[in-house]
Amino acid sequence: MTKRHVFVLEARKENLPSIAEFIGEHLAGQGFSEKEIFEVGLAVDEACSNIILHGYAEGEGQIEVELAVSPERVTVSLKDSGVPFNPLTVEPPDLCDDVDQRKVGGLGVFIIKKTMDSVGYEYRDGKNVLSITKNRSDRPGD
Amino acid sequence: MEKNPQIIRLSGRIDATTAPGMEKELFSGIEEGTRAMIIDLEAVDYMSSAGLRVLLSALKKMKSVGGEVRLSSLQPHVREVFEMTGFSRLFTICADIDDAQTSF
Repeated sequence: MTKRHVFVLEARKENLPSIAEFIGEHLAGQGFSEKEIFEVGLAVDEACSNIILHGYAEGEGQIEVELAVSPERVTVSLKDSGVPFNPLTVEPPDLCDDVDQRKVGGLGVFIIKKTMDSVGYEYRDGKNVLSITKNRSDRPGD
Repeated sequence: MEKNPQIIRLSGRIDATTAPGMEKELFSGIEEGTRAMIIDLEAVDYMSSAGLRVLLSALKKMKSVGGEVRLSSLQPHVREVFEMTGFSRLFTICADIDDAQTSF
């Protein structure tokens, strides 16, 4: 059975902690490890930060966060009406070890891809829809 | 050589909201002449890429003036983000403040 939870909020930086709380609240006690819950919260934070900083002029729009939790996985869908932007087209960062060569920034999308099992994007009905999925690691009976 | 490092203790959640304040704190230290800085992360339980961006900017700035930065007491989630992004190879990371102090 999949449980769905929806949270709509104003796209403002100061709302980032409440998104993390929303994720934590609905994943706690559902069999996800603490690390998995942290990673989902981080990926959602990165995606929402991009929407807030680049998608909307601050305070101008909303983000809809939908959580679908099943025994196997959690999928978070983020919808916004900001500038159309497909994060999957972002070039991966160069993770070189040289401080002078290393570019500042550009890590948000990389972190989302690195922590999640799948990431999908579509532009639908005038909205960016980003869906990120994390599979539960230790499912009993696997 | 005695460098008398400046210790900056950060705390809480470092995300796009709190990173600008942290940037101010780190940069003003460098502007005021600090050339040995310990950024203690013992009380930081969360850091997103916004925090990484500021830490790397501070490290670059410090390097450009011939100074050094140490990070201390990384918590598990922060360490995970550092490892995933290669930041653990960009910074000198110490177990705690004492360790960081003797490392200069």
